[in-house]
Amino acid sequence: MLIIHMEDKRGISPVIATVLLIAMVIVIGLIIFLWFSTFIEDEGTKFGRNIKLVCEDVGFDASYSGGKLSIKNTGNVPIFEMKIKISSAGSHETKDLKDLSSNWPELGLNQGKTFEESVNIGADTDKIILIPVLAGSSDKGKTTFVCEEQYGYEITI
Amino acid sequence: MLSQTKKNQRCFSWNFFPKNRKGISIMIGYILLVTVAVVMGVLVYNWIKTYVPQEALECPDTVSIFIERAVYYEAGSILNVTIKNNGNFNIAGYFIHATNSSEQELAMIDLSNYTSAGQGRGGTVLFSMENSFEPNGKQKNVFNLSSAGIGQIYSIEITPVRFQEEENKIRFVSCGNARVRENVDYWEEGVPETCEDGTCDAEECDSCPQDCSHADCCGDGTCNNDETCGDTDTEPECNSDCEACPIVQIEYIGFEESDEINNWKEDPTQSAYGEILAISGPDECNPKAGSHMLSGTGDFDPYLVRYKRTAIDVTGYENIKINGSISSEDTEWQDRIEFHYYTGSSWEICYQAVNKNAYTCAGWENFECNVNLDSGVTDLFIGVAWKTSSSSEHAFWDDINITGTTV
Repeated sequence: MLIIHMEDKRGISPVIATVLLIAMVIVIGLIIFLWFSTFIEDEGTKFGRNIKLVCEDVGFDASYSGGKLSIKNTGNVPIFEMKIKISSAGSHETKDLKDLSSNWPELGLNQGKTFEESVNIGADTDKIILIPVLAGSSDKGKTTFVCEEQYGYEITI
Repeated sequence: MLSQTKKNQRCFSWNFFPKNRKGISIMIGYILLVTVAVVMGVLVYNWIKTYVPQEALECPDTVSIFIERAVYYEAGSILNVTIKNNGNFNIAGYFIHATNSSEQELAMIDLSNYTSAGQGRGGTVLFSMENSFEPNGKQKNVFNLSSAGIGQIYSIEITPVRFQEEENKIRFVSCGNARVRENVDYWEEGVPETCEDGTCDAEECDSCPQDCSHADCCGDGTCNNDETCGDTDTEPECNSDCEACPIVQIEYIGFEESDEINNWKEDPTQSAYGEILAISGPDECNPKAGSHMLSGTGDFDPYLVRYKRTAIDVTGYENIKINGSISSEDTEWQDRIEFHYYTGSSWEICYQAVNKNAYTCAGWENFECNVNLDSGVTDLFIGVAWKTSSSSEHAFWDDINITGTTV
């Protein structure tokens, strides 16, 4: 039988105990938060909103005729870049429009601006989907975000 | 007996440095907990806030424009576009894009740089740096495409733009929901209406006054090109176009001030004897307006007496009119009550009340007349004149108003 004789029965003062508890809670909370945050994408923000939501407000018209691709920004969200998803014979590949054309504006397509350029998308292409890419900002600085395909513009060739 | 220190401790309920510090640790704990909770709440709020859907930046639904006329003149490669704001909101300008063939699906050719209102405006035709184009207003823009190498314009597409305040910031907004497209009329021949070409073409009195003289524009039915109403001696005057001149009051005489009577003197060129002119309150008649009127009486038939007022300065006025009211009491058919003005060379009757058969108050008659002063006369003299056959008969004037338009 273990008998501990505690001559001096003073323990840790309540203040220190409380501070320790709080510190531990904060540290554990931070660890959990940082761990969970790795599972959450930080897409960045634009106009003070999550950039993912801004994709809904993007508006543009496009056409492809005679090898010439025309895009006009009809909305109020600048389109920084454009992805082009080219579908042909059961397969598809997504490219940057910048790679296909050297004339894409450096700062993107602002309100009311147009882009028209001959773009080679291949002879057997069935359809193309133009997917806007937006520029935003995040904790890491400036960032770009590729909108989901549902916000793209489909052109059947 | 308590020491002074203990007394002080009893007197003050709060002591910053109590000797017994038990309980403070709990307070610190609570403060820390609350602080941490608040800080974390703010962080989470700011993060979650970015996920809250907001209304997209767009124009009000009733922003609307209408392309009233779009003509492309082959000679000179000029495109004239007249738009009308048929919405309920002011707009600041528009984007304009064109097609140069019927096969083009999208209007892609930016024309903004080919008109003066669009040069250096980043692809926008801006009327001003505010929403200055008002509802029901019309705007004509001339696009000189001679250097563009575009060829014939087939159709144009116009998207209005506005400045809107969003979250305390002025934002430039494209009204994509109000976009309009119109085919362009084609004129192979004919002189294009080009502003600043020295020729006053149709509608340029409004859109390009620098090309037009006064003679070009007076008579077009619109008060434009700096035309004014009024003085026929003044160059930009055009009464036929500018009938709605703003009328201003030059003088109003209500006879409410008792010393107004000092302004009225008997006209020695036409007078009788025994005449009396006074300002009176309600007596035989009630005043037309206010509580006093001008009253004349006297037995001097068949003579007509006239009192004239000190001059009224009408410098800078034209289209001068006098209106007022006349009444009488106990007058018969042979009595007369008149209102005169002096042209500069003769007295003219502005109004003459005859056959004022009235045993009691005859009731007020309103009168109005145009004043035709001799050239160069800037002093207007007005006069009241009457003849009555008995000292018990009265003539009354009230509510005299002299108006005109500014030169």
